[in-house]
This record gives sequence, structure tokens and C-alpha cells, in this order.
Amino acid sequence: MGESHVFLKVDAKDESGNTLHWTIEAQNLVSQADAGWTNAMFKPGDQVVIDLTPAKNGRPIGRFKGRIVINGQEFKPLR
Amino acid sequence: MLDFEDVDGCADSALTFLPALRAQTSPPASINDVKPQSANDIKVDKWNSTPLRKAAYAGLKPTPAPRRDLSGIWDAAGDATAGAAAGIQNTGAHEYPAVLEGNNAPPGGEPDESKIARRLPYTPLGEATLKAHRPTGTGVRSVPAVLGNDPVDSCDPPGFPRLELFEFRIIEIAQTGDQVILLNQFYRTWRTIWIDGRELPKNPEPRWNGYSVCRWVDDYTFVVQTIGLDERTWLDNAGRPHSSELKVEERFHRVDHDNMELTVTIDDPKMYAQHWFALNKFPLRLQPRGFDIREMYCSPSDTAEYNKQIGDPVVAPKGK
Repeated sequence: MGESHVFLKVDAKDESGNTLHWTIEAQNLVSQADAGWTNAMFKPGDQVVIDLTPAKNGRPIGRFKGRIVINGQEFKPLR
Repeated sequence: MLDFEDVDGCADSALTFLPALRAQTSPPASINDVKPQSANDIKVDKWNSTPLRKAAYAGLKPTPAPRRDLSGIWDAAGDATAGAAAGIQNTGAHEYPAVLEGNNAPPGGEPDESKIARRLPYTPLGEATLKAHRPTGTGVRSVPAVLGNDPVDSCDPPGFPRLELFEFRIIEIAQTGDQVILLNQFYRTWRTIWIDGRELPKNPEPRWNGYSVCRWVDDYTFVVQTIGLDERTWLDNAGRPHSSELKVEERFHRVDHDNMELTVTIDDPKMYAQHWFALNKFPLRLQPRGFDIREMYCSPSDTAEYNKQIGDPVVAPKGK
């Protein structure tokens, strides 16, 4: 790392209907800001769709991979 | 983001002194009517500015660089093409990324660099020292964050030349009569380069950023020599090693007003059988006047929280 990475916490239901608490890692703050992210981009209660690469050990942890949809609106990164 | 509507009186009065406006018979209707003469004149956010994309320079006519002057705010990150932008160098020094042929995002875990596309001329000591370094970036030898031993991961100073071979983004260059000062966005650190004619020290006490002196080889080319670098630092994000015998040459060549090239040469006979170019005419672009550099620190408490939330859980056994 060497600099603080951004991460997002999301509740999502699995196939059995159980709620899992996911932690999703992004890049460092400067990279995310250069891509157009702001500290108001996600708010508690938002409905989101996120493509991610999950951890190999099956834990509810992942990395942002591509598509981000917030309350039905797709986010377009600047970079 | 560009916001041409938000022009205050102060900015307006400053713009009236631009050469392009002096020739006009009436003031422009809005700032949109003012064609930028150089990157200096493009408007950016006043706080936490975002570096200009390459497209912002389209249409700017190249103008000559000022003589013996590197001062200004320069962006080394450039535009992203695939993955991270050029100056970030997650997989190691730009000229020698630790990636596979045709695969810029290798899965990691390799014991050495024998499979990479462009290999470095390691000595036996260099190869052995490389293997003792466990990088956590995205190169062929990378391991999960909590299994690595990258000194930067625990917020040690990256030191020089890693400041230019990893997370190389914005640098501000300031010149005084006897110094050139390089201010880095990454870790908010600075280097002092002496231009007063002094010689490099004999048997220097090691420092994170070493000891630097410089000279102008012509009016637009500035060459810096640096020695006395702390062996605890890595050269880049792939864990390339160096010894206390490392000598680094930086060659800044100002191509025109808005563009500069940087070549960084690594010379360390204990670790490498021959010198090599870590950056070769790497492009730097001048940022607008008023560009405000966003902070980029390493925070030990943020790192601990990252390890608690992500670093440790991702290497825990399955099902635990």
C-alpha cells in the first residue's frame, strides 16, 4: 500500500437470503479522486450494483472491478 | 473539472494582463472566449485539483521553454490507457515492469523474474537480494499485503529514486539562487538539489533521499547526480534492490513550455552488471497556474485499519 486505500462497506443478500457484510477495496484516495470519486459519492442507504473480484478464500471481501451503479445511475470514471 | 462559470474578480483582473487579451479592443464576453496560450492558462479546480488530461493540451501551440527554468507544477501520471496511469508504476520501474509477455496484470507468486518480458542485469547479489524482497504490488512476484515486507507498506519513507519510480504523480519544482527543490505529492516530501557548484560528499552518511548536486548541460537540460542512499529503501514497487554504492542520474529536458522529459539512470555495480534506464524520456506535463496539490500521505493508523478490514481476512484460511 504505502498510502491509504479507499474501501466501501455494503450489505448484500446471498442466494439463501442471508445478509452478508461486504468490504470492497478501491485504490488510494488520489487515484479515486482523479477518477472522479468524491466523499459524497456513496451515502448510507444507497442501493448499489458493483462488479467486483472476490477474495479467493470466500470471505465477503472484494476489489472493485468495473461497473458501479448507484441508485440506478451508472457511474462513469474519468480515467 | 473545468468550471468556466466560476470566475471571481481576482481571477478576472489577473487574466486582463495576459498577452492575448492586451491585443483585444474590447474585453471578452466570458472566459470561454479566451483561448489558452499554454497549460498555465487552463482553468482547474481551486482546491485538490485534478491533473489535466492529455486532451486538454490539444490545440495549444507549442511555445519555447524559458531558459534554465524548470519551475512549475508537473504531472507525471499521464492518462491511463489500461490499468493504472503511467507514473504510478505498480508493477515496477516504467522501463522494466515485472509483468509477463502480453500480460500486464500477472497473478503474482512467482519466485523470481525469469518469466518477465524485459529482464534486468542482476548480479548474483542483486538476484539474491531481490528474492529476499516480497513486494505487494501487482507484479509477477507479488504476495498478499500482510505477507509482504515492502518498507513502504509500514509507512517507511519510499526514499529516492523510488519517489520517481512508484506513485510518481505531481511534482512541484522551485528554484532559488543556489537550490532546486523538488516537492513530491507522494508522502509530501521534498529533495534539495544544490546548484551552487559544491561537490558530492565523500563517504556520506546514508539518507533516505541521498545527496544531490546538479548542472545545466544546456539551457534546457538539467542533470542531477545523487549518491548516499539508504539501503533499506527499494528502487521500485517490484522490490528491485540497491546498495550503498548506488548512483542515480536524473536528466530533465524541457522540450517546450508545457512539456518536459525525465530520464533516470540506475548505476549500482554491486546489484546490477550494467547501468540501466528506469525512466527513458518519460513525459511530464505542466499544470495550470493555481493548481492545488492534493495530499498523499501514508497513515499508520489507516494501514492498521486496512489490515484489519481487508489485509488479514483475505489471507485467512477458507471457512474460518
